[in-house]
Amino acid sequence: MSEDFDQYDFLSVESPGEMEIDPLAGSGAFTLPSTPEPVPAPPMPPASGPFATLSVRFAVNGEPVEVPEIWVADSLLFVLRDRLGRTAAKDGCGEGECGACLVLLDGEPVLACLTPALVAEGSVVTTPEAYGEGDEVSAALAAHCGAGCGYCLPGIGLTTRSLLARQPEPSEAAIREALSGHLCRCLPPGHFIDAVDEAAKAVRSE
Amino acid sequence: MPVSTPVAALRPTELEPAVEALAAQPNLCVLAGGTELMVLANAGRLRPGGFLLIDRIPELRGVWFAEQEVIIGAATTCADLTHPDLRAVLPALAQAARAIGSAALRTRATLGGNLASGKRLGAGPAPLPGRDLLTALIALGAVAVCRTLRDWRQIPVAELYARDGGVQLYPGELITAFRLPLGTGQQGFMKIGTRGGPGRPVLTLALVVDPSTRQVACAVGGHGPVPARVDHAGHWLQAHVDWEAGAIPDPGTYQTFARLVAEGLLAPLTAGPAGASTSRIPEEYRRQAAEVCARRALVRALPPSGWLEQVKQYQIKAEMMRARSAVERAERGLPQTPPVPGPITVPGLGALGARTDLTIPAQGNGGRKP
Repeated sequence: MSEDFDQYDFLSVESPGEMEIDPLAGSGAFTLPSTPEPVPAPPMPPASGPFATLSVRFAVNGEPVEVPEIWVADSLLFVLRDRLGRTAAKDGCGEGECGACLVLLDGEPVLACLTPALVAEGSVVTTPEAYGEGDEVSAALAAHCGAGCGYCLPGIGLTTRSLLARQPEPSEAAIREALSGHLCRCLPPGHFIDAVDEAAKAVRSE
Repeated sequence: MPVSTPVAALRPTELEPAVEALAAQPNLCVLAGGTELMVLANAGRLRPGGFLLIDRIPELRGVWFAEQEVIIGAATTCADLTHPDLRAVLPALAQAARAIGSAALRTRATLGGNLASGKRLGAGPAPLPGRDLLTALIALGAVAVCRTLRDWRQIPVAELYARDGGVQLYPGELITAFRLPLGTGQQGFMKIGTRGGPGRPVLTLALVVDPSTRQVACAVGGHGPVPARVDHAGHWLQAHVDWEAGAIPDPGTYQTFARLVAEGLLAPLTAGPAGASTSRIPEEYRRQAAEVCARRALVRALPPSGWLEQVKQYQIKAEMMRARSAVERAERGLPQTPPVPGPITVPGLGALGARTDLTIPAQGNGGRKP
């Protein structure tokens, strides 16, 4: 059992009984022992008393904000979306794989889901809302990638803007590398490369 | 003790207060970039009583070029490690840093964090991070510099880990820097992941050639909790390279070297999962990946002939970096002394930074568990 299953498989750790209703029962290919051997649950470091909270102050898109009573390990993404209502940065995987939560922290692209909110204390945070819909990058992304669901686009828009700020004429390889941190489930990468290319041309011709 | 009541978060701007706070509250969770810890926190698997943020300590972030070594602060970000200057001198480390996550992740992920996250002494199982940078550091022969309130400790990076991948840091101990011997030749790093871009490693391989001592070091990671050096392959290769002419006469050498490296994976090091999403990769695939990576890395580092000029260029560049670094640090107002014990010699400035801010206790076992 412990060899066939991931050691941290939550089903085998938290509620072994649930798997008794086996969706694949009868197929013979996938049967579980009725009493799975206990797998030690991953240890939870004891919290020291009640959750320690604190307040952070930073600027979002030029507007100073103060958020009281956040937990130390609350992510910047949680604070932006759930406490401040800035929902342009999306909550994707929570593991730094998808890039949907990208924001700029003091001008540097960071993944908001992996940045503790207290790191932003005294910093300037730029969310995708800062750009609205009017600029060249948004227009190019809408023109080329409009067929997708759009969940990844706010992050891709910010990445594109910081890429074009560094390299006004990015090569295809540079575009591919810059966008490699973003996952899109809808469209093939060619659409995004065309979009960034077009945005670069539009920004240059200004 | 300066800290008497438990605090939720501390963000010192100097090394001393950080070490003091950690000594007063050893259960503080040290956070540099947060890219590994926040994955656990987001999943509800980590409930820290408090964070000690070390991302604003200038002493811990940066690269110092000394006479014989390069010293890299533990809180140096992966984005810093991919800087062209460092890439010219330590290409393997720069390539490894570039293989970590996405660009946005690399602006926060740090060298020390990549190595120190994961399981702790005495703690139960926790998912092991990829630790791609460790493969490069082991091949480069890096030494970790750790600091407790009363003592320094310097050990080879590979010895920081238990066999099951747990980090063997003592309570209240902080990794401050890594010392890497200044290489004299070609290096390379390769990674096979679960996808083309960022992701958990299936296999990482670092190859470091030192033409001055005629040694080849190769380390392989991703197959077990801790990367391992495959020394038998390096030793075998030593005798099959024409170091005088800068050539490998027998083309079969590449294939044999690759096979020897892949055999290094057979060592019983698989005491735990390599990473969340790669634990089910078949061993056969991993061995094949090792063979292909080792062959390509060797062809790039030591092509069949004509790499003496390349080595010369590399040494000129390293020399230039050494000469420039101290001056640039002074100009930009960055700390001149790295967070390591004892004096270091910097070209152009002579002996620097004999650290006197620390009194080593007489019994010499300061703060450590027996």
